[in-house]
Amino acid sequence: MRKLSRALLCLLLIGVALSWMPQTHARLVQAADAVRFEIVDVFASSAQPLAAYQFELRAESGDARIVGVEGGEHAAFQTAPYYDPAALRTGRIIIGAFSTANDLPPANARTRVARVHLEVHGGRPIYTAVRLAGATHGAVRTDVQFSTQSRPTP
Amino acid sequence: MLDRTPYIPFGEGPKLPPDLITALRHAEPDVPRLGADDRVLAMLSARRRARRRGWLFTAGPLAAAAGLALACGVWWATQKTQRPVDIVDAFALALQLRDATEPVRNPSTGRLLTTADVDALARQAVRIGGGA
Repeated sequence: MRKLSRALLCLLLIGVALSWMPQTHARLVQAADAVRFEIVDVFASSAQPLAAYQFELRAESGDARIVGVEGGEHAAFQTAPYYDPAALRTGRIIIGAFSTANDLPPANARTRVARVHLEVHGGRPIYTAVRLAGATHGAVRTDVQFSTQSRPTP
Repeated sequence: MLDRTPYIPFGEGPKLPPDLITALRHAEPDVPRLGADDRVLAMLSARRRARRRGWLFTAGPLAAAAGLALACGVWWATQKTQRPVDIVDAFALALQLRDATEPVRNPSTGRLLTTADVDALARQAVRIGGGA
């Protein structure tokens, strides 16, 4: 009788352990899903060849934290732009760069000037790039339009 | 019964002849002036002093407030006209250094400018809470 009760107790414990394990696994998967990484490409275009730009990128909604900044696609802006390291781990950053080279992104061409990596918690944020400054050859100020495009990090 | 000097209203009491007062003053300049004319003089000078003090108390704070307002106005005007540094300023300096045929100096301090100054200017421009 005692042996039977012990066997039943063991079976019960094994059953409880088996039923708890999938829940834990599901919770771990859910937590991993909650934190993800995104890439925000910032594009610029101006009526003159682009020699200098400055913009402010903001995550308007959601919980996004900037973790890294890369340069653009054109040779003139391939090196990492200027930014304040204090802006890392926040949702707002000011990015700027200039090029004294003669080969610049052509006028009216949409070119990627920077790529920002973000850690996102929860819902998908909306990103906006606000123009702060722009210039063409000879540091002549010009109007620049900025746009953003976000996608999950592959 | 006490012998009291009766109160004599101003202007009704006996007066000393003016030449005697002058003579007394010249004879003993250290003697306190106690005559009726001297009381009038003292009263007038006290009034003048009080008026002067009144002006000081009125005009002083007014002048201080006006000065403060002027200082605030000047500060506000300079803040309003001062544009924050942006990347184009750093770019312009970089071009100036690149194209210069002789050393470029800071016009206010006279210090030689280098590419480190361009870098510092660009970093200031993108600073969070400062620059642009």
